[in-house]
Amino acid sequence: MTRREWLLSALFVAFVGLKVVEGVLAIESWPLSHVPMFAQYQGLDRLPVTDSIHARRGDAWLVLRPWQLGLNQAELNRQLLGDPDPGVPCGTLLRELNARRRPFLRFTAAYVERRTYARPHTGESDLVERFPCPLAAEDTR
Amino acid sequence: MSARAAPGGLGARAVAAWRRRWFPEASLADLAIARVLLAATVLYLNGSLRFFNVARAPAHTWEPIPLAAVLGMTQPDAATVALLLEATRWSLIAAALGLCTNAALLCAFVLQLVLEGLLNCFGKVTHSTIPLLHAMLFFALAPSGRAWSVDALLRRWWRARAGGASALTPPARSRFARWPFELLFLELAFYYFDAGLSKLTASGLAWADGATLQFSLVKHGGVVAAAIAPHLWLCALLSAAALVFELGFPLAIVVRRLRPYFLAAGVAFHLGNHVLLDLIFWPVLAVYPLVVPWSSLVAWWRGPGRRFALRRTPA
Repeated sequence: MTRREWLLSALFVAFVGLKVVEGVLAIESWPLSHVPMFAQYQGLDRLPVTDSIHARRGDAWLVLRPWQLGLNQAELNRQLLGDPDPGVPCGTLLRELNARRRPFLRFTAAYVERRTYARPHTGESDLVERFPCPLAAEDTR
Repeated sequence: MSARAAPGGLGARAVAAWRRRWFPEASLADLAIARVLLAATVLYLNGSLRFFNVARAPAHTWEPIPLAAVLGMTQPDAATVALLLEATRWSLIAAALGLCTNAALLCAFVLQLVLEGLLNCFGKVTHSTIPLLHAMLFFALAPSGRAWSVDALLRRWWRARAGGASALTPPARSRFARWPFELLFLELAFYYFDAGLSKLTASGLAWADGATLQFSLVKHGGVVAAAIAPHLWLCALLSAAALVFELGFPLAIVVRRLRPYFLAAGVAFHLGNHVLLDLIFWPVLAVYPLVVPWSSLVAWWRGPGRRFALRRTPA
């Protein structure tokens, strides 16, 4: 084996070792990952939930896209879905957004629409709830 | 695995097997093709608005990953992100052209590592670009610029000036042209295997009973998802197939003949995820052409493949 082959062989062994450690120890610290997407069991009693932000500018109500808040869908879900009252984190996000916008572009009211989906064949229908987002600092908890 | 192992002994045989696996003579053209494909893929990836939000994201959502914390990185402003992107772009263009190839690829890898790291500082881990990042490192350490590159042209010109006509022919093969493909395939195999293992350790075999997939299908909606979700048996079948694919992928590391089948299954797997769950994992799919030995494929097509195709063509 040449010196170069030894060095590269050490790289291969280290790389494989790293991959094994990632998987076995379930490391999730980017760029290390054990790729756990969708790994959690969701029994039939668990109901899927989605949140969407509706905001008013002028007379029009708009559904805000995550990118408008500077986030992607997963990051927005992380902000809202874990909270029993998603209106609170939504208010924080929108106040930050409003602070960066010119007055005529600011949102004057907003709410989170939380939809809890019924599983098929249960005979139940989706549950839709609304949580107001406090846009003025004095409205916050 | 020692060069001084007794000839014919177990050590010598192990070394020989290791060298046959990792360092066989292979086409430098394959490396060149992979280099251009890789650079083009990352250029396309960075051309999107992926990094647009890094500077715009609300400050309170900034949660630096350990790597960013160690490097003392803070949320950058838009100008810094634009500068990083521009530097990455030019490094990738140089790598694609084969100009100072290894340095350009290494530079692009470091810059991309920083950019992707920034993207991961908002509480969610981005999994889809990890294999592509590793590919950049592997090809940066390989003789990727020895063929079809400005480097190769310059080298030939320099040798022609210094030596005779024999120096004009560049080497078409190298013992170091195969390992990046092997290591990248290993990366893919572990990527899928880890995903399968995560499911088993978090949920056990119950993960494949259909309830978990049904949950995701109901949540993500879509016409096809809505059609499949009510049929729990179909959800169970698809879940089991996904688990078999993910956990079985490492088989193709050892049994090379299985590789085309697992790669084809991978394409079906990702397209299925896209249609059913609106999950776009195209940067992982973009790694597939990088593990294909194109010269072997061409040789196969000129030989048995062509004969097979001609036999099947009706007169």
